[in-house]
Amino acid sequence: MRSGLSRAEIQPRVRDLVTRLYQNIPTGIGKGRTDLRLNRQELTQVLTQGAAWAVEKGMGYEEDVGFLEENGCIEGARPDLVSDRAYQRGRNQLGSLGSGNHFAEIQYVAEIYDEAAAAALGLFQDQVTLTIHSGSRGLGHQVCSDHLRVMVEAAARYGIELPDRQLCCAPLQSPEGRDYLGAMSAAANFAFANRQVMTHWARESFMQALSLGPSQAGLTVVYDVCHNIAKFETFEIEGRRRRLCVHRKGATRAYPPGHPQTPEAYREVGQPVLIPGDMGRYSYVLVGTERAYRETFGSTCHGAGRRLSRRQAKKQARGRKLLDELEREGVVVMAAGMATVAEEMPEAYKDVSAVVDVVEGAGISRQVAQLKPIGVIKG
Amino acid sequence: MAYRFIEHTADMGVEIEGTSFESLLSEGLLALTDTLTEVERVNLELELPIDLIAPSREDLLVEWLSEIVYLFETKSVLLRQTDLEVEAEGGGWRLRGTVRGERYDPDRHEIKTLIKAVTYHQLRVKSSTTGWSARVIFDL
Repeated sequence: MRSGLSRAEIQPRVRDLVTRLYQNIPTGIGKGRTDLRLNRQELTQVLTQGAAWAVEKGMGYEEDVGFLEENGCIEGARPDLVSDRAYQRGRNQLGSLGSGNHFAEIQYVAEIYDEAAAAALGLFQDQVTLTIHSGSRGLGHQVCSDHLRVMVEAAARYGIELPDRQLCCAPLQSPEGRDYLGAMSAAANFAFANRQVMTHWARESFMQALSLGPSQAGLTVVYDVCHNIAKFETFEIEGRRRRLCVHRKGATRAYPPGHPQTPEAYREVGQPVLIPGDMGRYSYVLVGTERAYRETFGSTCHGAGRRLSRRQAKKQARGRKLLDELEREGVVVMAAGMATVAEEMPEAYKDVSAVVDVVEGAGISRQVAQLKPIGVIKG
Repeated sequence: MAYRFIEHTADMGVEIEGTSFESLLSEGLLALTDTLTEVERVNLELELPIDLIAPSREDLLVEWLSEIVYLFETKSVLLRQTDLEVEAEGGGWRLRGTVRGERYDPDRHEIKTLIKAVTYHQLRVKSSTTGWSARVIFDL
């Protein structure tokens, strides 16, 4: 999200802002907010409608959904194929960040590489931005676990040899394949709604911490991209338009300028691609390219990738005061658990600038701006 | 301690050993709870029944540990002690028994790492003359 605020305007209030975000957006262990508890019928609506459900409940603006991949809703979701267990796990988790590498981060635009593209994306030097990284939470994982069981058995039946059982699969058109796509789409819709709810609470946090009205805080959605999803998209292959199932795992969609699925406001520059780095250095905003559309089914990288395992990171963090270190670097961090901060410390990740240089060099996305963190909440 | 954590870049791997398959499952529980929190700080205040069925021992190990993740997430319970019995049933394996622990208390139980799922990735269960060993990877 972009704001109408500059870094200087919020600098004295960063700690208040982070505190508000931390109070308003549950992190860490499962539970969402007690003022958002869903019954089964409501959760079914979430799984069917995605982000629009939250907007309809007053959490967000109608224009938000136009800036979400697939407009924040995958068609063909089958909540009836989502197990009771997944419902149980998801029931109290809507509007919660989770743990691990999930985060909400206040940043500022540190560098602009393409003035025209930045202007089209509504980004300017020193502008305050906010990124939320979270997904379908326990509900999505339960959908995965439930269908893995089915797929392990199905793979054997379809004569598919598996190098690793976690890679179990079934043909897309098989009953098992279709069922999984329906359930996964429902989980994706949960993720869209989850981020939409947190978007709303992030806006409230800005208003509360900075004593601003909604229009002054002015947090508007730049874009929302998935990085772990399979869905049907249309491509031209050898002169024929074909509907393909594209699976992006640790990869992000990067549609080119002019693509009908790229929001109209960005039609001339391409779909925004958000590449998070680590909480100490920087993240990047890129745009998709024609070459990505031709060569990588409209896809680019997702993030930095780990350099150290979680255990190695924890070992290296021992005896250090990571929160103080980060604060000295100008980043206020609040986290549910210090172990997560250690696992996620900047050195645990590769330098994301090297990663975005590679994808730009390969021509599958173009750098627009660099964002530097100033406040982070984590699970 | 009959389990040890192994290096895995993005996730957490664990190797476990047991003199019987049941004790292997118990050690798996300890490893999982040790990943979540300081396992020795989990008191024994409540008991839950367990009844699971799976087509193979490998699957049963994943089912069992997945059940613990599910119970933590939906019932807020941390678990560490078991009384389990595994029997062959209908071409597969059935696990019955009880598991003990206590309700998660944020003031006493610092969460180290949350586990999203128990995976089949590099899953291995082996028996030998001295007992059972296994490797399992948690998705964090």
